[in-house]
Amino acid sequence: MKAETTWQGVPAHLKEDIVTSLDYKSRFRLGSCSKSDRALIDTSPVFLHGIEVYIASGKNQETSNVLKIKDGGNSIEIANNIIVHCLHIFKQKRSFAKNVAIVIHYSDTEDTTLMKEMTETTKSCGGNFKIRAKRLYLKTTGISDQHVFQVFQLFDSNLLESIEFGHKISDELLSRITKTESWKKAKEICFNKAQQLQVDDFLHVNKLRFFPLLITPEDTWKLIIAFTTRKTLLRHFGFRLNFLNDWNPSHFPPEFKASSIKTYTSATGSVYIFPTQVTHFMFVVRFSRRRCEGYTCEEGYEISAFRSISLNPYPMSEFLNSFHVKKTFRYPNFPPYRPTVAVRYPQLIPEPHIVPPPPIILNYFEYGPFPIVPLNLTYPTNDVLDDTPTVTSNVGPDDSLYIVPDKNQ
Amino acid sequence: MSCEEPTTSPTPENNITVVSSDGKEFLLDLKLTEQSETLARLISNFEYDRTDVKKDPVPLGNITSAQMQKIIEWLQHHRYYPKWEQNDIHYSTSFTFETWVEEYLNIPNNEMFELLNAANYLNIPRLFSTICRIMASRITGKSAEQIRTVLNIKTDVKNDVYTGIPIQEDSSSSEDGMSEISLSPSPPPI
Repeated sequence: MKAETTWQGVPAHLKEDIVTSLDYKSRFRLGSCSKSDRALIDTSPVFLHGIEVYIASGKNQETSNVLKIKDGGNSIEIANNIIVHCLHIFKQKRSFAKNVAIVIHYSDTEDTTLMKEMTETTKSCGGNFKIRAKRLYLKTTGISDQHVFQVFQLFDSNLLESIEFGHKISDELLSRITKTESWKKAKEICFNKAQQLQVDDFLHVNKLRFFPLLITPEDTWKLIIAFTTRKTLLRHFGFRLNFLNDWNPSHFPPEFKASSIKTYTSATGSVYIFPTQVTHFMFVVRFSRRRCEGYTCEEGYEISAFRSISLNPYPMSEFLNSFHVKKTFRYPNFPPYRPTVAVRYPQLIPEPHIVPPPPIILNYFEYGPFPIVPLNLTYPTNDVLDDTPTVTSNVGPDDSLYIVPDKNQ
Repeated sequence: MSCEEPTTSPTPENNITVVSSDGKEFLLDLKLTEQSETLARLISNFEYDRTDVKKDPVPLGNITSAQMQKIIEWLQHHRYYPKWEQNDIHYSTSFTFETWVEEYLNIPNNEMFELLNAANYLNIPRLFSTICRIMASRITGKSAEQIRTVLNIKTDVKNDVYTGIPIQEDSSSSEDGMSEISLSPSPPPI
C-alpha cells in the first residue's frame, strides 16, 4: 500500500512555490520547524514590496537602527543586526524588492563600523553580491563619498529603474555615479537637493526631477528635444527643473517657439505644446518663474488627466509615505516632496453679480400695504449696477496657469 | 476497465483517452487538455488534434484514478476561463478564493500534496498556483508549533534553528526568536 504523502515528502522545488507565497514572518516560523525547512527557507527567493533601512549613529549616542520590511499587507520592524538581516535577504539570487530606501545618518565621520559590517556581510554572501531592487531612495550624511558609492554599487544595474537621492552629493561622487551602469540604465532620476548637474547626464531618463543651481535655456531646450524626439513615449510626468538663474522662454533658441504648436501665457507663466514622434501623444512644457516642467500627454488632454500625472510623478514618494517615515523617525521634511501643482485651461470669468436697483419708495397711503424697503445708500463697492456698461466675459487676467502652493513649503 | 465520461459527451474526433496509474481510462475533451501544458504539448507532437490520426491512449503513470477524477473536475470548471498568466514576481499573496475553489480544495493535506504533484506533472499552472496559495494560507499566521501540527512535521532539531533555544512543547520557539520583530500597525491614511 502506498504511503501517504507528507509535507516532508513533497519535493523541495514544489515546496518553494508554497514558501514564496508566505509572508515574511511566516517564512521564519516555518523555517524553525526542522532543518530541512530551514534549508528550504534559506534557498527560496523572497519577493518584497519594500525594504527600508534606517541607521542613525553619533558620538556618545546610542545607535538607532531600524529595518522595515513590507510584504503583502504587513510591515515588519527589525531592530537588531539589521545590516546582516537586510543583505541576507538578497543572498538568494532570485530575491527581489520593489522599493529599497536607505537612510544613514552618521555624525561621527571617522566611525567605519557600519561599512566594515556591510563589507564583511557582502563577502560572506558570496561573490558578485547584488541587491535586486527596482527603486532606490538613498539619503546619507556623515559617511564618505567612497562609502556612498560602495552602497550605490551594491544594486543590480539590470533591475534598478529609479534612483532618488535625498541628500546633496559632491561633484566628484556625482561624476563617478553618472559613469555607472545603474545610472545609464535608470529610467527615473530624482535629486531632492539643489546642486549643479550636467544636463547631458539626464537625457536618457523618462522621469527627471532636480534642482540645478544654474541652467541655461539651451540646456533646457536640449532636454525638451530629448523627450519630443523619442520614438517610444509613455503618458507620464517627464521632468521638473527648479533653478536659480533668472530667465524666461524668450531666451530659448528660435526653434523652441517655431516648434511649439500652442501657447498659453499669463502673468505667472506660460504653457507650450510640442508634437512628438508618437501618435496621439504631445509634450507639454510649462514654464513659470525659475521652474520648467515637461509632461507627456494625450492629444486633447483635460485637466483631470494632466493632474493625475502631475500629482504623483514619483511612486517612491508614495512608498515612503506608506511607511509613515515622518512619524517614526521624526523627520520634519521626509518624504521631501509632495507636489500639488496643476494646470488648467483658461476659463471664462464669471459675469459680475448685478444688484437690482432699490425699489422706489412711494407714498404708503397711495399704494396700500406694500412692504416698505429702506433705502440703502451704501451699495457694495464691487458690484455693478445694471445701468453701467456690460462687462465682456473675456476681459481679465489669463488664468491658464494655475499653481497651488505646495503645502510642505 | 471502466470508462469515465465527462459531462459534455466528447465525440471521438475531439477527445483523447488517458489512462491512470491504476488502469482506469478517462475520455478527455481536447478543449480541456489546453489547460494542461503537458497534455497540450503531447497532443501537438502526436498531432492528435487531427481527425485522421489514430489516437492511442495516453498513460499517466504518476496519477491515480481518484486524482484524475479530481483534475477533470477542475478542468471542466475552468473550461471557459481565460488562459492563466503567471506573474514572475508575487509581492503580496492573496488568500481570497472563489467559493467553488474553497470547496474543491477542502481536502486533507496529504491529498493536497498528491494533487500538487499531479498538477505539477500535468503542468496545470492555475491549479498548481491555487494549491500553493491554499497551502500557504494554512500556514500563515500560525506559530512554529502549530505549523508542525498542521503539516505533521516531525522535528529533527532539539533547539530552535535560528536562536538555539530548546524547543518546548506548546510554545512558539520561533516567536521567541523573533522577539525583535513586531508587526507594525497599518500606516495611517495620507
